[in-house]
Amino acid sequence: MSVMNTLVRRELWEHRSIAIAPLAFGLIFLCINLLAALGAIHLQVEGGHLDLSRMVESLDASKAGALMQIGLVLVAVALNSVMLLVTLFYLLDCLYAERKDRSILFWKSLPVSDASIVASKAVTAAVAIPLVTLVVFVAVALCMYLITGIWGMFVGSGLLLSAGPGAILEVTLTHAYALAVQSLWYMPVFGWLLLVSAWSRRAVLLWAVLPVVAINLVEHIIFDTNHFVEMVGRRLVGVYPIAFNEGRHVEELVWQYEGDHASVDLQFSEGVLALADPGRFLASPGLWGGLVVAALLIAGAVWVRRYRDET
Amino acid sequence: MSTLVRARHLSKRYGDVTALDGASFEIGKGRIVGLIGPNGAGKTTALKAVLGLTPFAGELEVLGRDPRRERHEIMQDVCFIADVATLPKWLKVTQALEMIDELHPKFERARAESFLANTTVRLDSKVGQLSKGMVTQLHLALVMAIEARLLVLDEPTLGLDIIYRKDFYTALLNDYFDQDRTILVTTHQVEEIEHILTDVIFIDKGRIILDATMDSLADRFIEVAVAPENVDRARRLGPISEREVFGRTVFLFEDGRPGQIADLGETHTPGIADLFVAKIRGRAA
Repeated sequence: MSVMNTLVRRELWEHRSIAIAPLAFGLIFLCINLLAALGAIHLQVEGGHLDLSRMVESLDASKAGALMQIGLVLVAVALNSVMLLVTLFYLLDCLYAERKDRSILFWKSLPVSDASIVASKAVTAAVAIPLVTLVVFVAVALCMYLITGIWGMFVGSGLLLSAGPGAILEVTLTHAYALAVQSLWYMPVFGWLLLVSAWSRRAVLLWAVLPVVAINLVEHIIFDTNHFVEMVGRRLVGVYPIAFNEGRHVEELVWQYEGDHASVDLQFSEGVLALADPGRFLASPGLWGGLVVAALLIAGAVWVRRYRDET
Repeated sequence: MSTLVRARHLSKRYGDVTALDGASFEIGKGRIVGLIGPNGAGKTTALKAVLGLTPFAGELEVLGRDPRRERHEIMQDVCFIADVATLPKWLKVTQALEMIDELHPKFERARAESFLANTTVRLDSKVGQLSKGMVTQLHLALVMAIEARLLVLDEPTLGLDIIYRKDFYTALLNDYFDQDRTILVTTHQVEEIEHILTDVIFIDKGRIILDATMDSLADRFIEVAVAPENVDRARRLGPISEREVFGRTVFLFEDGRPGQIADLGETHTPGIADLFVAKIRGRAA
């Protein structure tokens, strides 16, 4: 376990973008948040200025909480997109760069098995990167809460300040759940990227994508179907419909226009965490089938790293 | 003398190229063995086989284990520097110390730090900021702080200044080597390691062409500088090589009759480099 800790820490030392990318985007959100609060920028909604202070006047306690949640979910979704890109490039690089600069020979001089090394990369992608992202999210959320809450006081409502902690907790839990199901669901994708990274001599990104295109082409020519690419597509975007319920009860923003000013009304029933459906996720064959495929692909990456001789 | 490495009929092909062609050798405990051969002779392939880094045919035992199946166990007691500059550029010196300390049960951090204190390597530097010579000093300091039974060095000083090369082998000999340590080293610069070796193995075209202790070389090989009038007589004794030096012809004999050879002129024990050239040329002829 301490070996795994050390190996994952080493990944974070090497791949600084794992922390820097979400921090950079978090800072951008904070800047926008701060500038909006100071009135330096105006938010535009469908051509109309969003008059935030007028909106605050119409809030009640539950609407304030919902508004905070919506803002935080937007940040969480954006950070998640950044994280997925970071993870993609991390995985493609992690077993490729060490061969390219021959530092694999140094790593192989240490008494650490190839299985542990490859496992540490999978753990980094599936656990460490999401945790870093979650920590950044919480930090950004707290700052945004302070900015927005204090701004709310100035425009005449303490509701945002009092609703904030609950909203942050709820969105953080939802975000943690989303990250967990996402990691589990994406394990076969991670495994595939690790295998490509361990195997490919150059153009890793191309090799990650090309087989999918090639298989689909062959399938299309022979059977005139697109099942493979549809399966890959479901793997890439299909986790959210399984892990979360349809958003029938989700907060809805109803924009109201008065001249060129837009204001908002919230149709609110429950918090975002109520949308999580872990039971359906755990019962889905796609999850377990994916984990089996992931185990095979990761074993393949271990095998290639152990027996490939190209240095 | 216990044997750390026992290789029997090692063979390895890369496509059409034969890297190892039935090579057999043994390495005993407490020895410093030089594996010497021209480019493409199979030196690095032999080391990679010993380190479990490449598949091969034949029998090979390292510390009583099979490097194909038990590489992980072997690496607890074997250390290697696979040529210069394999330390990752992003790694800081302090991170390297911290990480190896946690990953290697036989690493003594304080020892590595004291070795580094004698160099110009700063602890807060990244490997990428260090010169090639300093990277080698760092790598050597890290490796010397590991209580390994076998240390394998593949061209450890390639591309370094003479000062660094000298210091490298001096440190290795003075601060690291003892009766319980064993070193297997390959290099192009034979002359530089000649004085530290206890054993020498010549390899050419994947085959072992000489495997001897340094002490036995003086008994087995003799060089004699012959004046022009005695050249024909010397040739009849079957030298393995001859070369011109300052108007004299220097003949190298293997397992010759010392009495007869001494009559021809001034004799001495050949250097490894001359012996190496003679052996390789002899095979090529």
